[in-house]
Amino acid sequence: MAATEQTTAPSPTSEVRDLVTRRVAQAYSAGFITDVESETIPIGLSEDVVRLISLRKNEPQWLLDWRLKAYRRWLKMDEPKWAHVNYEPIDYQSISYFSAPKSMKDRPKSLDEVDPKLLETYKKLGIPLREQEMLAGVVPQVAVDVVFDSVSVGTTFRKKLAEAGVIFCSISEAVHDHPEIVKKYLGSVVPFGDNYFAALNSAVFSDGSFVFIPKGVRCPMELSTYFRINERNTGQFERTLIVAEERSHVSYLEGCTAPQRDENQLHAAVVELVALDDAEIKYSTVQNWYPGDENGKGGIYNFVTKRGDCRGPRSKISWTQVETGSAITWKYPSCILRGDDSVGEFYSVALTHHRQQADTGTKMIHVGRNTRSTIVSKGIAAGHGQQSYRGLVRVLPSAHGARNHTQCDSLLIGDQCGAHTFPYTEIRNPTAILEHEATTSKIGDDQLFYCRSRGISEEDAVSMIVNGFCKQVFKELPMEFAVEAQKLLAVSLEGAVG
Amino acid sequence: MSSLEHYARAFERLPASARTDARRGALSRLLELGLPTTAHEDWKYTDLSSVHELAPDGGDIDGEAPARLDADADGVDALNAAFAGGGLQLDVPAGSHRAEIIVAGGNGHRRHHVRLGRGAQARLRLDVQPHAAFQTVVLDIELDAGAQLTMLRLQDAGADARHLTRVRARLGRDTTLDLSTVDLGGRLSRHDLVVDLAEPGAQVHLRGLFVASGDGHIDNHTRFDHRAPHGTSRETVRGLARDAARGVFNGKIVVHPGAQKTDSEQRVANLILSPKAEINAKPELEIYADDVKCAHGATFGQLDLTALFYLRSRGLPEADARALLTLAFAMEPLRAIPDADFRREAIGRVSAHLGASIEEMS
Amino acid sequence: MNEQTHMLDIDNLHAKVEDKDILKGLSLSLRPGEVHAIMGPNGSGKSTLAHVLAGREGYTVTQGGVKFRGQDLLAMEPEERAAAGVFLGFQYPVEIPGVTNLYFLKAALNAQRKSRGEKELDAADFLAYVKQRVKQMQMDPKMLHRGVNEGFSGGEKKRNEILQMLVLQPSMMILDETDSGLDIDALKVVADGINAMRGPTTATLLVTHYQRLLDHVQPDRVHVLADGRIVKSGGPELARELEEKGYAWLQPQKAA
Repeated sequence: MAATEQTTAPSPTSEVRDLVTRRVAQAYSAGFITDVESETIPIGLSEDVVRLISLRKNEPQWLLDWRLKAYRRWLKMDEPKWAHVNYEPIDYQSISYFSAPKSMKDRPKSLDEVDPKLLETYKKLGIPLREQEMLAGVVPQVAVDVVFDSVSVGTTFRKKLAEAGVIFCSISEAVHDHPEIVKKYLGSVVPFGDNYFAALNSAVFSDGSFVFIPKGVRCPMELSTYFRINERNTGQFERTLIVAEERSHVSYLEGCTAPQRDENQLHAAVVELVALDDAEIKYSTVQNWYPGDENGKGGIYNFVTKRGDCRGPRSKISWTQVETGSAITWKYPSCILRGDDSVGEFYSVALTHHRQQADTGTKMIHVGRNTRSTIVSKGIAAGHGQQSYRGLVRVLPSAHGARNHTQCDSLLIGDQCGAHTFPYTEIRNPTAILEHEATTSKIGDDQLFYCRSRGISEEDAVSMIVNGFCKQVFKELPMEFAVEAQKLLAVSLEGAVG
Repeated sequence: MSSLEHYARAFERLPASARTDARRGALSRLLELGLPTTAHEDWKYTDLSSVHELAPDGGDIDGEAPARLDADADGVDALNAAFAGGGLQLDVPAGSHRAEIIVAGGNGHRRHHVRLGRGAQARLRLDVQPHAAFQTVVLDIELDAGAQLTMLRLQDAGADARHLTRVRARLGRDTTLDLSTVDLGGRLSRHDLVVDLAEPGAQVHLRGLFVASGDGHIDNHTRFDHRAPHGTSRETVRGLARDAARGVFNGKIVVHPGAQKTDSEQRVANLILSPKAEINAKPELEIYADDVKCAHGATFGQLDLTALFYLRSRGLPEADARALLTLAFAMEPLRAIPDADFRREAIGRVSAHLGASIEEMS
Repeated sequence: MNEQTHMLDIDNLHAKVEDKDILKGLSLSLRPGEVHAIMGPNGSGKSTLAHVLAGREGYTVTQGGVKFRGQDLLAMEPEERAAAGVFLGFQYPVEIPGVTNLYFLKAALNAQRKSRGEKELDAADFLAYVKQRVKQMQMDPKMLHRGVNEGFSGGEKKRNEILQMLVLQPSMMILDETDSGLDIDALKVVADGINAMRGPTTATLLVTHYQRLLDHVQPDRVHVLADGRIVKSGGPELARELEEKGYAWLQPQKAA
């Protein structure tokens, strides 16, 4: 044997970084464009545009008045600057605030009448829209509302849900068909003046889902909404409202994708949840908006206000989110724990890669007695990604016996990314018990070597370790979506870690 | 800011020799910037409007103060630079060890400067004036390679005193800053500690305790900037709030790009002892390097329930047992003070301060 | 000796860690069916040898080489070595939170099978296969659903190493201080596991500081490693001699 000078193996860390840069373009599979003729209103925002949207949706006067109040408030507000994100100023006059496929103008009565091109879009994305296929198959039944740009294309399983007394439709339809419920709850959790993006949304919101679960009903299937931005230069302003009456239960899921485009697009959504006495709402998000390319060109600005109101005693609201997409994420799904013994939960996996930036977390506002909250946040930063957890736990003097547990972990992949933690705790009751733990680590060389010495490739090892890191959150997702989320994470990590 | 006109007038009452260009420059910075308001993230919980009318009468400013202002100086820095009298100017030569405790104190606004040469060692106590209507104290510390500074800051001021204390330290290679801080009194007490771990191997250890009572307001803001590899920071803070008092703790750790092998740990534990008391805590991490070990933890309201049960099973009434455990909770960071003199002093003052209240509680 | 008959052939191996020379010309050969023990004082280079053989980063080979079944072992990635049949039992097994032992074992076994062009095992067959070995190691089957080494005691971690070895069925085993931290019952179980892998087509290199494992696993050869070289080799009786006399008596021989 000849004497040779060699290093036994190159440093895994540098290899991981190579993997990061190697597999880039293939990562975003939802980036295609659907070629449909759309009616898109001219760019720009004014009172006339607000009126036009309302007219286009044939809305009652009270809603137009509400929109106009929101718009006037928005004009007086400043865009928030406190988030740990950087982006070029948004020109709100360069965005079109309403865009709908022309074929949707005559409101197809059922999915059978919908333009096949639109249906094809969802098929490509793996969204099941055919009830028969689902009924025949082994997959669990999920009722789906699909929103394409500014309109809802259709909602499945409505009949079966109606039999149980559950209303599941687009918010536009709900305004016409159930105005008394919409009027009672719209803006009752997120008032139109709550923040800059909520005010903008209240003025120009287009479509989104409406769910109403009456007293004592356990929703017979998972409900889900799939949001798709397709048209260029448009923003999407979804508005979702879920009301769970006394002793009811619902599990709801949303997914989001958009085409790969060079310009940034704005998604400013508002989601309001209301849980009355003993009701439970489980809200899961798998967010995969187009993240932009590896140099940070393009991608969705995801500025979202999500808030749940545990209005009744013993009610429970649980947020689970897997955030892998968007160029910028600004999102804090929150719980107001008003009812005594109510429970709020927040489980989050957020991944930022390339030039993605996320400032996300939650607010738990303890108002009622013996209210409990749990926060589990797992942030993963790779490439030049910046990842921030921002959370608030506030215990008011009235919240006797409040409890919170927060676990906040960050995983860094590469030395160009950042992971940050900004947890606010404001405690005004001596009986409150809180624990907050945060850690920051990288994938250990030890762990990688251990896996490799058992025959597992480096890429698979990284993926395995990251999934293990996120496990606490994945187990909160409905089974089939947990699998989906794991795959999504693996795909997003393909560019990131292998 | 019209409310700062008191300061403009007070400046004109200074002796002519004190109205230097540098001070005048600082004054105009103050008038231009104003004092921070609660709209500013770092002052979210601390309202300075009560000091607007507490301008110095101008008589007690002595000597020439260094009025240097950094580009990022805020209104508090400017106020101090305009009105501060001379403070401690300590320069410990390379290699020398000062055994005695050096005291930085004085009345009115003060500005101190401490520099330890290569390998030097010293012990420093930073005092505030216990009955000051309003005092700002700025201390700048520079540690050259291998220097070690052990420091105690003990604030046991009267119920009407207001203090803003700002300690900034730049840590050279393989230096150690060991700092213990205790805040027990005051109507308004704000302490900013900014430590720049500028060179490899720097270490900072902070042990802190605050006990906010009456309608007092105690705010501790710490920021550790890890700018070089192999830095270590340790921070253990305990907070208590009773009566209608308010406590604030904000601890920020920033690991800058390239500061690999940073090892940072921050532990914050709080007890609220009255329904009207309040504590706001925010332990922050900002991390831009991957090969680091950073952890923080914050808790509220947890006396050791097993210990409580144990004490009660030995016959102590619950209130006594709680008081005892509360005292133990407060003492925990102080017991770890490595310098025996500082440890004795801190424990003695805190015992005296809390002792009476323990009887009240039981 | 004919190289072809060797399982592992270490020839004049020099290696350093961070510019410090640790191995200074180590030569050693194992034939199929053999069990060798490497003993030596702390700091003699035992663990470095184990890590170099498994492909740990940070170890630089400056001279010499290692052949495994005639192939250049040092040119292979760690996972390639594993797939080829080399197994390292870690002195300090690593925790991987959130990844269950079951999943880990399955991923490892299937990755190895795949790279050898074999069919992957289906879930049911695999579970039965693993459970039998868990029983053999006298472990609680619940451990399969816990994270890899997560919260395991030192002894549990070592048992888990041997369990992985039994599941993966390697041909060349390098066990680094597998006996340390074990009570006598666990030592017996671990030794039984090692003996179960003994056969005409496998070879084992036991790296150990103490004689006690060798009471249960009889080695064919015992080597003493000191200052990066093998300074003495012998039969099983050498291990007992070392136990009695310590390592100091070997020093003059090294100097010679």
